Amino acid sequence: MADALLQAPLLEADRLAKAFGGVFAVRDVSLELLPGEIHALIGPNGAGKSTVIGLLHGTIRADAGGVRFKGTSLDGQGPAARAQAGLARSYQRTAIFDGLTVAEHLGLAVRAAERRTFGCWRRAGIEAPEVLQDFGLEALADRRAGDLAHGQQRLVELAMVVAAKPAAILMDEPFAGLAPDDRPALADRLAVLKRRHALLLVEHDMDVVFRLADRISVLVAGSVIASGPPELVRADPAVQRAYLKDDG
Amino acid sequence: MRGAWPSALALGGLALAAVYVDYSGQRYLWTILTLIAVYALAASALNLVLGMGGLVSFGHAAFFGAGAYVVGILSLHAFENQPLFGILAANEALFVWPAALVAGGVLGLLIGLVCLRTSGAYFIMITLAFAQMLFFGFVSAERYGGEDGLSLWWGRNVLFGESLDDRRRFFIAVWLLLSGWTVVKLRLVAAPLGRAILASRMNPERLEALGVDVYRLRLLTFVLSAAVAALAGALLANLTSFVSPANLAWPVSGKLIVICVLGGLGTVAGPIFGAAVFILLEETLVGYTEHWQLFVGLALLAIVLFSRQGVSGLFGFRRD
Repeated sequence: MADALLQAPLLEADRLAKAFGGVFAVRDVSLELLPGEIHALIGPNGAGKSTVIGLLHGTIRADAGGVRFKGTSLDGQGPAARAQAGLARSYQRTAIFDGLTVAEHLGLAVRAAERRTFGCWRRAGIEAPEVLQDFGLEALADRRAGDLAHGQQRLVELAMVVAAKPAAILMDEPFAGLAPDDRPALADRLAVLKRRHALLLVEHDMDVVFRLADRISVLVAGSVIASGPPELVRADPAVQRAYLKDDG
Repeated sequence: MRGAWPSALALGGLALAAVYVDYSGQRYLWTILTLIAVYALAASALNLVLGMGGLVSFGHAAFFGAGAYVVGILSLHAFENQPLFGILAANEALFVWPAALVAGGVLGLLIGLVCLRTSGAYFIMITLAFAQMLFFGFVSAERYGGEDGLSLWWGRNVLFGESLDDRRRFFIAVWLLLSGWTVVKLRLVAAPLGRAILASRMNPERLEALGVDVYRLRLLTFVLSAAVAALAGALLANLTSFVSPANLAWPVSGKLIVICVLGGLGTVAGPIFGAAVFILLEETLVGYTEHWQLFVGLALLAIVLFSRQGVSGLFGFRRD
């Protein structure tokens, strides 16, 4: 922890606010994501977690506050520009390209990161074979992603995100809808990933959160009510009142 | 079956048909064969946006007709020996056809900049609206024949000093252009750009999140498609030695979409098969009934119901 505190944050959200139709979805949210950490963002349904992800990712425009990444402001930039800068995201509902092969997914991601998408004469080659190997997807490389099982599709999406070598990844409920048998493998995978990428993890599964996270921030009704290492957050009375108890 | 084989088969089929036509000596068959190649080129250009990109452009007649008008207007100015934009107009194919290509690309850029901000039904309607605007613009352009259109008084363009009024020579020129474009398209489909266009149809938000500017990607595709459609229009003007606002009207846009669906959406060879089926149906049925479109409609219905990939699908060809 002491080492982490000395590091400059990779991603900083500064007093973000967003209202929909006059009602605040997110208010005064400040977050920091340090290099190589897993920072979990938890909170009850409707707390504004998805809005925070959208604000950080650039799909939602903030009413107030700003986002800095690697020390430069991202304000006014869309998702494509933020991805180019090294800020990637994965989706709650598996978001892949059904008709493309597994290998083509990695190719798209790597070429997008390296600005080689617009090549129109030379055949699109195989990219990031080592990532394919890491994720155990080699045997499926030439299969259509749409034909794979749900757990495999999750891995394809994650491999695609990782292949672009982003500095930070926003993960919106990676365990949602995953069969219990597939969960441990994904948790192991995330633990390995954090050495190379900082992860902001939005997740409902408390076992996973307390096992993986270096830090936890608790979002309730659009505001962060607690932030810190897991053991402190777990012991925080406000958190217990607002969240952990009714989650069972 | 996928890759280059279906395209080679389609282009080879056209070439074989040309050999037959040449031996048979039935001159009007050259016109039908060339018409197939011209519509195959236009529909193949549209299929880049429609089949691969998943954007239903109902306004490709704008580019097709604009290409035809480039030929007509340049031919008129050359005939009257009047400069256009300070340049002496020419009847040389090597000047006129690239001019049509560029005009189509510029028009595609202007229309695409606006239309591609929308999607779904709005995109269909706005592309249609632009094409109809151009249609009414040329209907009221008295200088260029207004409603009556323009005849090419000097006949077809001249290529390498030889007149293209020779039917065989003109077909070969069109066939070579269609083949060249097909090679370009086969390369493009397998290249990073082609993969990204397909991905933008399947999940544009996800592609954007990977760092691809989807608007720019679609604009580039649209401009390329518009330019090639305009070239096809220039070839049609040459084939018929006549240009009219009807080339810009919405039934032409519809015809190009039908050809793509008949042949197989998103396939490279599909539009060539589709154009052959459509033009042959049209030419044979017209001899029997004036309600020929009813039978084209029935054929379309049958193909859509029984093969999702059009005529190409019936042959077992897959989407590229």
